[in-house]
Amino acid sequence: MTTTTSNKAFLSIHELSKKFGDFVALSDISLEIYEGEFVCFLGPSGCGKTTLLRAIAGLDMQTTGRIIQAGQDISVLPPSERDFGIVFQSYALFPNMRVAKNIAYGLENQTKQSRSEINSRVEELLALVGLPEQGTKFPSQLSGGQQQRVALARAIATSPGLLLLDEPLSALDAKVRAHLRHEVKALQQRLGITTIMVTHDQEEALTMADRFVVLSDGRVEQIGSPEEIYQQPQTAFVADFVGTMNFLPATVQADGVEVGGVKLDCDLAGINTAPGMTMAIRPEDFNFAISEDTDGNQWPIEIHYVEFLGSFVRLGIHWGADDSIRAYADVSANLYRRLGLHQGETRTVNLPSEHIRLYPAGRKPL
Amino acid sequence: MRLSRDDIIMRAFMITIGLYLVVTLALPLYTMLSKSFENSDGMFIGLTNYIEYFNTPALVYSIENSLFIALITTAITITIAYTFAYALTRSCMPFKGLFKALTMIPILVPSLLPGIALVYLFGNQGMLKELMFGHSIYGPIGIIIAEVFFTLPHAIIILITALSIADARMYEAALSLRASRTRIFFTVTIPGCRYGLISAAFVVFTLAITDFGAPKVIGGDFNVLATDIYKQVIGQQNFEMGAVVSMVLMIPAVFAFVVDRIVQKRQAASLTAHAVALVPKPNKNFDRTMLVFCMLVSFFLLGMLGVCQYAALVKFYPYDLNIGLTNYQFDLMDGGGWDSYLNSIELASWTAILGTVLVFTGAYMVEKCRGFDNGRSVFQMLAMLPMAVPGLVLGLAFIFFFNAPDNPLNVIYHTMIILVISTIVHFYTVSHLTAVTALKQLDVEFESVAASLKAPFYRTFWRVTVPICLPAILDISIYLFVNAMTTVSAVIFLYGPDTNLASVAVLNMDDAGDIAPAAAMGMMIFYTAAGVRLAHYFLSRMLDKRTQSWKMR
Repeated sequence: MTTTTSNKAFLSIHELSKKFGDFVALSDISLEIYEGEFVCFLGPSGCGKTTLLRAIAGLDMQTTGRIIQAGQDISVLPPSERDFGIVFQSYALFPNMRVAKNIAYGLENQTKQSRSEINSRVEELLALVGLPEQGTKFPSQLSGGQQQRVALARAIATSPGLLLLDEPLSALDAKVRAHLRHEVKALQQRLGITTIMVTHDQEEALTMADRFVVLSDGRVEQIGSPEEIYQQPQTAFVADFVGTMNFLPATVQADGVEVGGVKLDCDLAGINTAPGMTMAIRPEDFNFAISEDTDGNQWPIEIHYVEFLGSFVRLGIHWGADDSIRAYADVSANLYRRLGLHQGETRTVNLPSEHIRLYPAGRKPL
Repeated sequence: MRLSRDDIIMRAFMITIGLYLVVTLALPLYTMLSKSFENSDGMFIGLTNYIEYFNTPALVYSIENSLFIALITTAITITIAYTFAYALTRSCMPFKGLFKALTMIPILVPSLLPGIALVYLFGNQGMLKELMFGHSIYGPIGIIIAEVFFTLPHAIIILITALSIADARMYEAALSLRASRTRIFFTVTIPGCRYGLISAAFVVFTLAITDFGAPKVIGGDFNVLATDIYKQVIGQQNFEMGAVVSMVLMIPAVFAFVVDRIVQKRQAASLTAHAVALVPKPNKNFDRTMLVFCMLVSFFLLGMLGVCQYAALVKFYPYDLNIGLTNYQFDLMDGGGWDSYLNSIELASWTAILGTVLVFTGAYMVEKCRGFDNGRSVFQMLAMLPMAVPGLVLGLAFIFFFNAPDNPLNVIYHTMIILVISTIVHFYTVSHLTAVTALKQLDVEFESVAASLKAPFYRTFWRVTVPICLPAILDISIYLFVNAMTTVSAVIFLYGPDTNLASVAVLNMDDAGDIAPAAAMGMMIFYTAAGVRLAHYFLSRMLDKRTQSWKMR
């Protein structure tokens, strides 16, 4: 999936910090983005992801730190002297100009282009974003999704080295959004343009990005591929923010943990253990299809309720003294029917030890 | 941060326009303040002038008189304006558009005009003199009626806005909880527009306490602060005492201004984007009552104007009631003749053109400039300051500053230039706020996108900002034009023999006893202002049609 990605850092950010008065919006951010890569800045609102994007664009200057783009230190350059195209959530299309004029706006600032060159470039871009023949309309005559494509065409018209997308799909309704995700991603791969997208929507990030930068409170929580972020979240915050996660109180014992009176084997190597910890388990990692050769932890649980969610079923499960441990378990609708699971019955559940992740206790997840 | 070429150009523009405001506002005001601590020879004498002022009963009475006039005017105007605005927004009566247009009449005439109308109606030889039951119209009664006429449109505009932002769901909720009409009015309607009410009250109070036209014409022996300044300066040539009275007059004006700013901020915060517009339901009795009320108010406004028109046309009231144009032979009167009318047109045109360019450019720079936060807040403050400075005070401050022998700028005294400069700064704040409001409605990212596309800011300004803001730009120019036509207060101290103005001519002819020609000249101002307003209306309509294709929402 990373065909266009090379291993040369195209954009590097060194110890970037941004303060608004006493408020620290970004604290000591360092990261590298490779040429041709699609990177998502993901995090809850107020985590600093937009601030970071705007610092890269030069729209909001950082307090300290450096930004290197294509070998050039751009830390103090004004936006007009940097090399990027940008698409905002509001699109910021010029309402009084027709679509073609909007797209041509950047081209007209390059003196060497003739009128006919500009026109043919605009035609090419309109075709590229799937809007041929729409050049003579005004933005307000287009749908939200179409406006979004015009904004994209305008941003890439001058072939910038870096494409910045600030929550570009948030203003659209769900169907259009899902469709555009694939289009934007396909276009990005076709052009091979290094792209940074800011989003709070993890599903959007999962479907589009080559790599994630998960941010919280102005700090980088984790950088990695979607699989890494989902399967090996390094902090409780990441574990909680991306996907659904059960957080259960656990007591560390020799080569395992005890949760609600049940002893679970897991690998404690490399973990800074404390007597009390938080154990994190994805709902889909509980395995109900148990055969004789199933390995790993097995214990009885009670199915407290059943929630039908379309393609899968979410079970509320309990175990321990007074049902003190409560968790979600997800089962595909298919398996649910096959196993004949019911509310109120007690079943044995299996949890492979490699799916158990431990974090220091105390930090309250979201 | 390294500055781009755009940043440098934008800051240069902002600083230049800021300097204009410093030279035409801050420095004159400072000069006036220091004059109030000097004697006529320019020696510093501390508070002596102030002590003398407060020991002169005739002068101190004026404070009481001014407050009395302003408070009564505020109470009456707000009551009428609120009911009127309520009728326009919450009833189903017919002719709302017509009524709304009629309320704008007072804006189109100098505040001297209602005084003249009252003289004809209730003066010593007035048509309806008997209605006064022996009281004299020359004094507080006349001033208050004239001020109500003069301040009504300002209050109505604010209250219509305040009443239009109601959320229908609040009323539905109250109804579903079975609240009575009265209870809904006091628990939903009034709280919903309380900021508008406070704001309107302070605007009316300020206008009434600082107005000079009405008390000058109809005040008789009843002195107020504004006429005191005029008398001290023009009558007694006591400039230092004029400065002291000016400082006293600034106090209520500044106070009202500060309260208004605080209230405006609160109101902006209380608006939500999700409100459902309230659509009034027909109610026969209520709608009829409101219609009658609005007709009465309109009759008052039209009546005052009609009386002036009648006064202007009657040959020699009350002895020769034949109709003719003799009173329009301004060249036969003292007061500047037809030239003063042409001068007013010239002043209004220059003010509208230069003022609009200056105000809109300034507002754009201060809104869109990157960084430079300190400079921007200083500019914002300078742009808001004119609102708190009464016209007479500004005019007097101009005398002190621009007529000083050691000021190289004193060559512009008595010229058209100083009239244009003072009028622009006099009406700067409202124009600036109009521009800022329009600019704030633009997508904040236009400039960011343009910078990423390497477009210089002036290209985006010219090709995007100005076309989109054209309606607001037209509004500003028309506001400046009309006010330049009607204003008396600041320019009264600044015109010269060759730069007499129509509004000043009204005042001077009235002073000389030529009331009928004064009314005629006042009506000339009305025709011009109304004509320009009408032209503006059709131009806006045309513009609206042409730009409809790209209007958002």
